[in-house]
Amino acid sequence: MHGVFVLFGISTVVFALTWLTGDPASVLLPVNTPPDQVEVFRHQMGFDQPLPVQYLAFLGRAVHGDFGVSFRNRTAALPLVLSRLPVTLKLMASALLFAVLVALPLGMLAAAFHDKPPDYLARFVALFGQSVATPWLGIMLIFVFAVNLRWLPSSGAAQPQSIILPAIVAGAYSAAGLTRLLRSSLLEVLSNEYIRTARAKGLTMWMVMWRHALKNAAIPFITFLGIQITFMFGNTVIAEAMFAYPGMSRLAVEAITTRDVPVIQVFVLLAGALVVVVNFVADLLYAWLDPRIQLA
Amino acid sequence: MLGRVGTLSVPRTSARLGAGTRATSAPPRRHRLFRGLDAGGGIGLLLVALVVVVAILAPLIEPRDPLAQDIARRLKPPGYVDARAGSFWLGTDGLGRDMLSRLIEGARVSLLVGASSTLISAVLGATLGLTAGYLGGWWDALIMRVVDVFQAIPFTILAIAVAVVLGPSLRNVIIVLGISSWVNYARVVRGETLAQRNSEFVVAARGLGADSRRVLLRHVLPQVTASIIVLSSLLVGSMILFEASLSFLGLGVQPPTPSWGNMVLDGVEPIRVAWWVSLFPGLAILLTLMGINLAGDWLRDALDPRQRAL
Repeated sequence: MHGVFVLFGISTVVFALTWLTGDPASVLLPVNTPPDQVEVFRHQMGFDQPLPVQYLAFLGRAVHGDFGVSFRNRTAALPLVLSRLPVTLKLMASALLFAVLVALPLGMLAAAFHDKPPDYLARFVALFGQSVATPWLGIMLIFVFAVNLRWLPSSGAAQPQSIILPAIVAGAYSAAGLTRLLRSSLLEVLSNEYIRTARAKGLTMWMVMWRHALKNAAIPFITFLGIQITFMFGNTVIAEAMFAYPGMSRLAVEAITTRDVPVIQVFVLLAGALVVVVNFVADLLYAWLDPRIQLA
Repeated sequence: MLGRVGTLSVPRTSARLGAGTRATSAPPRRHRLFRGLDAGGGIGLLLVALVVVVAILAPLIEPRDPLAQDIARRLKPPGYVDARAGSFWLGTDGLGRDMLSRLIEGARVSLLVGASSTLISAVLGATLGLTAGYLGGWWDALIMRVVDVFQAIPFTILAIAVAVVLGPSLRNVIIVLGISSWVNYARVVRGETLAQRNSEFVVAARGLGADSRRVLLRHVLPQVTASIIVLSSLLVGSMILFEASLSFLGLGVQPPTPSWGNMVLDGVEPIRVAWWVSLFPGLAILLTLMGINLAGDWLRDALDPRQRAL
């Protein structure tokens, strides 16, 4: 229910984008269209109606999945963007995987060796990840791995390993945040009594972490994902643009230069919808992971 | 504020006395803030101070005009020495402009973008958060729904959408970043305002006839400043990062004005032959951000122990 409301709000923002762009007719029609034809067109499209009427009409069409036609591709905007969604989802999943692969060992090392060199390393990696400009990271990775070492392709999605560099670029910021989160929540859990009991039973540090501590870090991890999904989305845009990765963000970036407003509208709406869905799933997971939490 | 009340009402309790004697032997009380300063925080403060000084002194320390082009000496590597024009410590970019001078000028632009867009979000978010928390009712409900909506739209994507509509320029970049990130302020400030709304000093102020405006500005706002400062310290850094992202998409600060973000973009095309064009501005962002993050973490622990680092 809450999610439906948020989607409604996003569609309002999306609608606001249309009339903020100024007269849509001037964007849609060729520059030298005679004034009387412009008027006819405005009437046909309903641009001469009062804003509230236009807004309701927009909502009515949006509910039916009609967001107009891409200015550039001359095809309906929604199917066009939707067709690129799976590629973006795959990239985001890979970025998340990268983040976990970095954060899990680093976070555990840092917690096990609190205030010792492994901990410093983890803290430095986290600081680096949170301080690095995403486009720059991408350019440097291209320079090292594509130009000099020639290990990985610098653009496209033709080969399976094409996804590696974009995934690193899209996931670096989240990897840093996740490392910090795991480190601090593991440190907190490790200070508990039952951890001492487990240690006293003779379990090794790593067993304790794997069996007891990580389980308790799951809840903050999921909360983190709900927040992080928006950042990851933003960095996916950069990654797709930089590596010519054919997802929906790249479509939207191309739409920037042509000011293809319908495509951007659908893109913003889909991005918002994705965030809503992720947060909804996170809520379900809470209840499943921790029986003390009840769904409202 | 608390300190003043303390010294007025309980000047002779043992705890206060202990703090007081220490304060007289060492320089004034304000130094309490710096007592928790660790190596990280210290390095962070130094880095930030360095960048700020460079930005302020930019016109004085730039070796040459950051906008002056000379195709004859384009893409020269770091350390290049021209017989007439002298040495170019960090090389030149694709238009033959001096990298070092542009880097220094870029510090100015990037800090300006970071600071002013943070100011916009802080004022916007704090105003909405204060009024929502204090007035409650339908206004609070409305603001919080708007917050939900804004939280669901990824920041970069919102910024792209707004930048496409407004068109890119230095002023618009600041506006875009400012209106895209007030949400955190609104949430935090509203929460703290709710907690303060029925506290005794607010009720007392109301009882003495203060109107909402006065209560909010004179009594509630000082209580939430610590949070606002903590949020802002880290947001300035995020804004510099976001400017770099927008620049990469062609929606950031527009050339010829150099920002670190659009300088990184300048280096994309010649990356195969001239790595330094994008390396140095990116390093500048990295070091500045490390400074801001380290200093910000320390500031949060010093000012607001309740919301410690994740």
